[in-house]
Amino acid sequence: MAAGTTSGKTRKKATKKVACKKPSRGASKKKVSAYKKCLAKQRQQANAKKKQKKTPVATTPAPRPLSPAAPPPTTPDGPIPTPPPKPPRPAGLEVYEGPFGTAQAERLLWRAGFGPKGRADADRLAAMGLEAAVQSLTRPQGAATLVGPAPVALAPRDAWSHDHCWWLDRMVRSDQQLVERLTLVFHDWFATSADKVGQWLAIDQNELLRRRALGSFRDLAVQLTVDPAMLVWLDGIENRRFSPNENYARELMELFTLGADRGAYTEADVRELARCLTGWRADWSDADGRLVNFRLHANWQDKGTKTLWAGKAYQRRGNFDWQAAVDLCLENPYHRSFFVLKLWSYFVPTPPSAQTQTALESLYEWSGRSIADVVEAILLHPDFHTGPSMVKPPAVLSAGLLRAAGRGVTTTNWGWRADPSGQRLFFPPNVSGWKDQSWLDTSTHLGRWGLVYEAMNGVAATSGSYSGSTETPAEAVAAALRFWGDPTIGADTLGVLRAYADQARPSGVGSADFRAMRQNGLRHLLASSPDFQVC
Amino acid sequence: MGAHRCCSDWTRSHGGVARAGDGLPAIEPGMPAPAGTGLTRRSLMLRGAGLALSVYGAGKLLAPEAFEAAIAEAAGDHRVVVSMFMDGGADNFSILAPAGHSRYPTLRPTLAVADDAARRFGPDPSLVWSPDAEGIRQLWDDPSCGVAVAPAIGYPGANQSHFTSRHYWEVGALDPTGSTGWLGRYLDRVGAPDVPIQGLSFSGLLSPALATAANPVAATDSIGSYDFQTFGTWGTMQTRLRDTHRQLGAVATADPALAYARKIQASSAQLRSDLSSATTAPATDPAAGYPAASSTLKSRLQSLAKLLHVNTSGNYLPIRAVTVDAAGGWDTHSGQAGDFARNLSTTCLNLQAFWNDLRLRGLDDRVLIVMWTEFGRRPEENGSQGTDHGAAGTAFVIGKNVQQGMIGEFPGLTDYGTVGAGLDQDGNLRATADFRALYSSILEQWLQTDAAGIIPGAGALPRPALL
Repeated sequence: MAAGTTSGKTRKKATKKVACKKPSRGASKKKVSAYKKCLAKQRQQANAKKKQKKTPVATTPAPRPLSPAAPPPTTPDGPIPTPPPKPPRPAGLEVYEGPFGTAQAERLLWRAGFGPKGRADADRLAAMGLEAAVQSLTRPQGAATLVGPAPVALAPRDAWSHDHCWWLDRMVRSDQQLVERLTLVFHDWFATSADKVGQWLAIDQNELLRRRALGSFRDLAVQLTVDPAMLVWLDGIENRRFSPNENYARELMELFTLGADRGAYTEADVRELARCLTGWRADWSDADGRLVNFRLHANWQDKGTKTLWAGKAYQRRGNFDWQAAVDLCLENPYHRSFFVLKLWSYFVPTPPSAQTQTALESLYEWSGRSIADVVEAILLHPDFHTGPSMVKPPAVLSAGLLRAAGRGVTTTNWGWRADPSGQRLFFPPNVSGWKDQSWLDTSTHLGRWGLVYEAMNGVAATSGSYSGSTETPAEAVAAALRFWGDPTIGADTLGVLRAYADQARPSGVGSADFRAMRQNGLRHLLASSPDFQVC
Repeated sequence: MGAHRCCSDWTRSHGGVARAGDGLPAIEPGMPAPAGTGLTRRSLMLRGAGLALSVYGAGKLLAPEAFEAAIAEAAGDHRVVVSMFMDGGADNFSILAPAGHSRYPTLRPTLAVADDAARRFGPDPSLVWSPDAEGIRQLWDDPSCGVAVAPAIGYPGANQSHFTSRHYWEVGALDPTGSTGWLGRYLDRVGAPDVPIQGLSFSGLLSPALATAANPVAATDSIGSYDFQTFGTWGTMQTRLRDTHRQLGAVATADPALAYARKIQASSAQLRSDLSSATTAPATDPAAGYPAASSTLKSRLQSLAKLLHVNTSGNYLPIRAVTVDAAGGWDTHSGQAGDFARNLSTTCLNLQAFWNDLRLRGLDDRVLIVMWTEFGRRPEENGSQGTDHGAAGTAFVIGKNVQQGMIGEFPGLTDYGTVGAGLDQDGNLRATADFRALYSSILEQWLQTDAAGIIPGAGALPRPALL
């Protein structure tokens, strides 16, 4: 058989590219078939090469040094031949060199995590200096530990809203804050709703996002493509060769890897990519009450030739499968700018300069599509530290209020508090995620007031419990600040709060009642204030 | 992409208002006098909150104490447009189904709506109302209101992304970077700088169609519970809490996100004040015939009717534009039949009841409803008993004096390449009406303001006659 011969030859000359002679139009079926097999071989080779290239990146343990100068590993048979030297880390990435004090550390903790556990936490980070502080977030060691008060009993896979509370608890207590924050970023990026997929698969997907949050974006995209929740969410299990369903193909390009309206792909590409992604199925299990046994079903796969990016210089033709579909998107020249701009937008509210964007794209490619490397560069960038502030997403505010007050998730009220605030975890409004530029309106403002209420619930001041019979207005404001861990708040806002505290006790209100009401009012106004909504 | 996390242009600072304390602002440049009222525009300061209030008053300058009265005077009896959105791309071929077209059963082997002489659509009997669209079909038959139907509405170069196409409809332009909504630009032109309820999303989130560049707008999920309360606090202390909450929204800052957060806080304080009048107004709800089943849409439409009815000293609340989402999601890629029928039925029956509600309250001459979706679906169903994204879709306009009939026409189902083809090269329905032309008609014929400056390129769009 021709195929066997080819295979023998390639084994000997592993480095030489197989040459396939394209049959002329109207050539015999046999010739065409041999050509197709030959192409498949080429692809296999290319993939094998890719794997070789990828291996050192994938197995590099964290923490990684900033420059990839690890000594070559040795084996009992002697040293492994030195791989070709990796090109130097791309230049052109600025690093913030200004002061790094409490306020800067607060911003870092709010944007790359869920806020400081009080002033001491921010000061601890500030004392480390910028680079070490950032690396403490981007290069965590080992498994995460949950530190702090344990939550109320939760059944995240079964009980209504417990999924939200379960993740909120991780946000409050995880000592790997950036991992948790990136899990939220990718929950928004690959937004999947438990409304359609159910809590069981949604929690599984959440754990996948967490495991892959600091890894390679290719691994993340590949795994998510066949993640059961995603296969249900965007109808991957409805996509068969007889009847392609375009849902996942479109969103993979539009929302996950390439972006709409920039010429990255056409409607024809949506249809062709959908063909590549055919063949996944699952079975309904009455016993489990959900879909199980997600798998590739060869007979449902479209094994014909697909053409992607037709008419472009980088046009590709071949019998591509689901995995190739992801790689086709990631190798599309529009992907890397999409990736770095989207990732950047989660951390910095103003777009990067052209030079910074280019440097981040190079870093992304150089690092083997490492999420951690790009995030680290963003967190070190001057724009992050000197630019305008960002609105805290509601889930971040929720976790941050509890961290600031030193409290845990002691009630499942957080579940129903979430929707009015504009962000119920596991229930993004649609596949494009939450509209992060419009977190605030009059409705979600009231929802945020409710979040603060919940963070105070159970520990609010009462006339019996709140001491301070000789408390001055200034002391009352200081006590309210202390309740929230002494956050940095603008002088204007403190002035308005001070004027509130300065007002005399109204007639008909007892003095102990008055001080408790004043204290609760100050705490509530402070943590719901515009100053506390941004970072 | 371009989802930068804060402060797009429409989130711009409220600083102009905070500075207004230096003196009463004149009518701002480009701000026309209110159409047809003969009123002059006045401004005043609300001392306690440091906020400037601009109202349309009849000549006398109102005292700051008369804040609520001033809001009421801003009201007059504005015409209201209610924009109802079917989120996800509603399947037009299952609302007004082309059952009279021979290709329809072939394109829709499992989803076709059966032909029925009793439900044929008058102006084009090749189309048949879905049995689940009964509510709107009955409105069509109801002589007390007019219904205009656009059976194939869209725009040139149909975009099949939910988010892009929806964005076009929301901003009222084929502009991927547009940051103000078409209703937002209308409110910037005719609205007031301190009346957030003038643009109201009945939703947990503000609709981008209402996004303004300057004037405040509001969102709320319900009207009965909008207040800022804390533990154990009442009486004077509760009043102080509300006052301080309002003042925290009036502090000036150069930071765009912080400025926006403060603007929202100020708007929220004002909205609380406006909505409190709705909950205290005595009004018996008429028997409007809402479906028995509870739904989010039902409670929102009931609240909206009630809110539009609030009348203080002869004046309605100054509501001008409202957005509300139709029932459920409409992105039916698989297993379409069940969800779609339920959502369509819930939407149409509640819409019909809402119209009855307005009529029984005597408000039907104040309100025009436009129901739309970001695109129609593909004529040919997919293999999952669902439908993928298409091009032209269906829109409805409902109002007391709306001219009953079609906007555009149904172009048929013949393939691209044939003469007068109904389908485009992707096999999707060709548009015979442009949504921007519909918006221009609504602005000019209903809201009585020039579409130029609100809808880009309005001059070149042939307006359908709506009224």
